[in-house]
Amino acid sequence: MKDLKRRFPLYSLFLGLFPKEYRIRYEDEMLQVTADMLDAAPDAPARALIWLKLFVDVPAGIIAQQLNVATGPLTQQTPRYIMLASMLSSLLLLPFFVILAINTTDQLVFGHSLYNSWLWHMPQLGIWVLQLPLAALIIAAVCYVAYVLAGPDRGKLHWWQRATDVRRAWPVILPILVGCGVLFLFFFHDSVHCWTHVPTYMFTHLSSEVRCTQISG
Amino acid sequence: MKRSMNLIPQIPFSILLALSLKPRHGYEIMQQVADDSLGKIKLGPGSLYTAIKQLCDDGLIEEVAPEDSRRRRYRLTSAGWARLSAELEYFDNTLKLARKRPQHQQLRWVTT
Repeated sequence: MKDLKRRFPLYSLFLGLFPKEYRIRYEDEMLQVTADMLDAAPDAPARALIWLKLFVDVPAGIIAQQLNVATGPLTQQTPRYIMLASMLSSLLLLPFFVILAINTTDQLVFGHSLYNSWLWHMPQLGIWVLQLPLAALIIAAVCYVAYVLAGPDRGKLHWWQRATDVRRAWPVILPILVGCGVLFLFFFHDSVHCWTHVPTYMFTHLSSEVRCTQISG
Repeated sequence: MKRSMNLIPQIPFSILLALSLKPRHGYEIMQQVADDSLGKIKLGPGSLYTAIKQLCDDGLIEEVAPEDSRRRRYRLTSAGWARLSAELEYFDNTLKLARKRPQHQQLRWVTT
């Protein structure tokens, strides 16, 4: 193969843009096919035309293969239980975003603030901002831990390599992050005292407490 | 084998058709595809090996025991034969149907 690489140095570099696995498997053949095409060309203009076609055809192949590598593991190599857990978690998180959209519409149309909206009071609040996201977080987290501890490639990779294997585990990592974000919002939002009634919080967030009391009243 | 809902795309179909005669390596496939399509389909190495990889991944073609890493030869698998047969049968039935219709005389391509 080295003689062909010497013959087509620039083209060989160009083929280096293919994903590694693909390159190892097909680079020799692609160089040979290119050599065959050029050798069969009758004259210089025909060879020039072949090179012109190659510099359109090969980049298209590079893009296709790089996309395949980038997106393939997202769907093909991800274990099925991760995909199922991801779908379930997403469904459980969906009400939060739906209610948030409704809340925004409520604010725009009727001028209700977040505090005035019925959606922002218990027990409704607890369902879409606490219970469902918590369930989504637990399902996704359990699945992620199961993947890290007992993933399908247990013999090949260390647990920490699976833990950082975002390309396969992203379907559960994403709901974990979103779930944490929603719960963070829930616990640290300045309206939290409206339903927790924690005395220290009420004391340190007096202005919010007054507003909350006014609304309740 | 029943034909699935989607047609095999043109290039993979042409490669399957080219390999139905005998196992071939890349350059032979390119030439056969060009001959079969009367010069309308001229593959380059990029599109050829993208399609070959996909067909291998789908189990429709396989590599014949490699003798030379530069000239690997490919052949149809039993799944590849079944898929190609299903496609050809579908095309055949479509042509028969078109010929039966009264307007078929106007469709010159059907009768030639």
